[in-house]
Amino acid sequence: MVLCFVALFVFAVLGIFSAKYRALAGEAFDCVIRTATFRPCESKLDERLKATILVHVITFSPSMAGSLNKHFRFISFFFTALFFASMFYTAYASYNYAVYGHCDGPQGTGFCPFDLVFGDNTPDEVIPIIPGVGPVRGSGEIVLVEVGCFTCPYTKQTQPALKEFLSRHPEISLEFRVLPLPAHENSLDAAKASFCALEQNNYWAYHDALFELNDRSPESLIAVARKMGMDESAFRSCMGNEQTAQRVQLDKDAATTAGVYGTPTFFLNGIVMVGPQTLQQFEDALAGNPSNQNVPPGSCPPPPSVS
Amino acid sequence: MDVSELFQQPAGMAYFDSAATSLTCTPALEKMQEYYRDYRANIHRGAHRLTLKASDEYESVYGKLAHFFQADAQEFTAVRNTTEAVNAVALGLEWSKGDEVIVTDIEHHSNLLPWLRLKKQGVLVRILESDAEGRLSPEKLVSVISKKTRLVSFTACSNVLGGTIPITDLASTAKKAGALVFVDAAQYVGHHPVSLKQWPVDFLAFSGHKSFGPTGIGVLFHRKNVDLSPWFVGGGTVRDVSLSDYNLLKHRERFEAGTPPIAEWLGLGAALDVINQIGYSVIQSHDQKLIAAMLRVFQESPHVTLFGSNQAEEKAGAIFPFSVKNVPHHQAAVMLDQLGFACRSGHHCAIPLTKKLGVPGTVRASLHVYNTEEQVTRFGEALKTLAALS
Repeated sequence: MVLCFVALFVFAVLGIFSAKYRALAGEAFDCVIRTATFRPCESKLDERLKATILVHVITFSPSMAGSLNKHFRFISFFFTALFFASMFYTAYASYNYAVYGHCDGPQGTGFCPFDLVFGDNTPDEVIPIIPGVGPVRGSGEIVLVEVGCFTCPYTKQTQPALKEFLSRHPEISLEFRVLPLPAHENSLDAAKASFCALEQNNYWAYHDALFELNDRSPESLIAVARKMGMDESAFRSCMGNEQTAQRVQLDKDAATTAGVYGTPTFFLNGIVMVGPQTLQQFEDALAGNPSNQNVPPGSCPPPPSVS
Repeated sequence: MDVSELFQQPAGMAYFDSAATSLTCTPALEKMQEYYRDYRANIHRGAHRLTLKASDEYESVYGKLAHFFQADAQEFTAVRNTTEAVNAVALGLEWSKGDEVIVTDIEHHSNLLPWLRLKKQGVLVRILESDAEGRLSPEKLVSVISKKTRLVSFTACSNVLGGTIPITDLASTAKKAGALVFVDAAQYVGHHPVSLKQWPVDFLAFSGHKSFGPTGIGVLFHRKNVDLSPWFVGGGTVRDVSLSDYNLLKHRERFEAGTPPIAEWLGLGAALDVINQIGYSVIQSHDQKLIAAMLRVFQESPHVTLFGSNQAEEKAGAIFPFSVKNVPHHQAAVMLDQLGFACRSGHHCAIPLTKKLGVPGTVRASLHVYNTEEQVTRFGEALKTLAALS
């Protein structure tokens, strides 16, 4: 019976802790071999499992037990398939968690059960980044620092609200610190390109254009720069320049030191805001009433180490 | 008398597996403990008071057997179980090529395999076939038996079907043809009296553990006038020994090589006392009540198929093999266990009979004097519960 496949795995795991289950795992293994070779299970483990399940069902619903008994082979096949599908996705999620820091992979933002076991990847406290290093938009005295990634959908999502907030508050300027996430394709290239645009005094236009791009391959990034009138040769040279890479690394190190665990992250008046923000949330932060300092429903998680 | 005081019932469960092994009566347990506690010594091996006491107790069981079965004490030998007894006779008789042995098709493997093994010695094993419900008839035996038939071996009560066997008729038929008779009384002794004075049998065997006694002990009866070689030789079996030869003792001593299971033998003696104390009339009467109640339960369970006879007068033992519609036998037994009934499932060491019944196996409920009609009623309710799966 196919249910022995599930039993083998379950008993094997329990067998790590108990000899009783090791014996059952042995029976299940024998059953699996026999089932796979179309022979009846000699240990009768399959019938014992079935009987144990049915006797519990029959006490509260005889009709359900009858139906279960009649269709047990099909139902056990279904649950076995479900079990292996679950195992596959658990393994896949484990891989994602190990590599990307989230069960759902690089774009994952939702609930991740592994966080309950291992704790989430968010540090206990995010230390505000001191402004004065990155490119600045506007001339306001109050500096809103944004740590973002050009390939992060949530960083992009926040841009309209952010622009509206800045237009309403000329006393605020924006300093952008880039945190390219390795899991996001071409994010490092985009980050480098942004600094190359800065070299040619065209940072913010290029910054905005980067969010709108679908293709952020180096050639595409250079093509955009060319269209915006920048020196292609200098831009291309800058992209391969070691100093550009160091500039990106400077921002990454700053984000790591600050304990940034998702993009975008904003720092305003000592308040930390993680994830896509609304205009009202920016306003609240400015007023000194942070409405959201926890992990928002959406943010781009960095891998366990962003360095 | 209150039989329940003589047995410790398993907690939370009705024990319906007595054909596999009965409950051990408390006096048997106490007797074994008494031996180990008060006079633990080897028998026939010394002069001190402990060994003398142990030897006396040990020898007294032969006296009990003689009285119990109405035979000579020298005609009983301690064996491990019925299986060993059958093997002992098969190995201990002198066989010639062309000899025939007749066994029935309802036998336990233990009363089949030892005879089939004799084929290597040129012995032909012939089968006395039963009818569809496991009945055996002396008339059929007449058609199978011949001058070459050396031995006829049959069960006194099938461990699968529990039907009545015409023991003395079969034995008489065999004796008239000049054959030896072996009776497997494993399922019989706990339920019915046996008179070896009247039964024309040469060999009879039973196991202690199926008759309220402990495991590891059984009895082989064989008539003194039948030559039987010891299947084992060794300590305790010889009168004199040289480095080139030995001279065996007579009668039973020659068959009990080495130290026997003394405590178990004494426990068996205590179990026989319990049977006497209860009385076969009480046991048989109680059996009949249980059989009638169980048959009613099966009649009221259309989803359950009962194998063998469903007539109370044809039942020698309260043994009921059955199957539940759409429920494999092992699954049914496990579910009955969960519902509070210890039943056995499978072929019950009788694969040829199970094949004849046309099923891969059966569930077997087998009851004894310590079971109650109230338990049977609850068993009926449990079977009704299983009806939901049909």
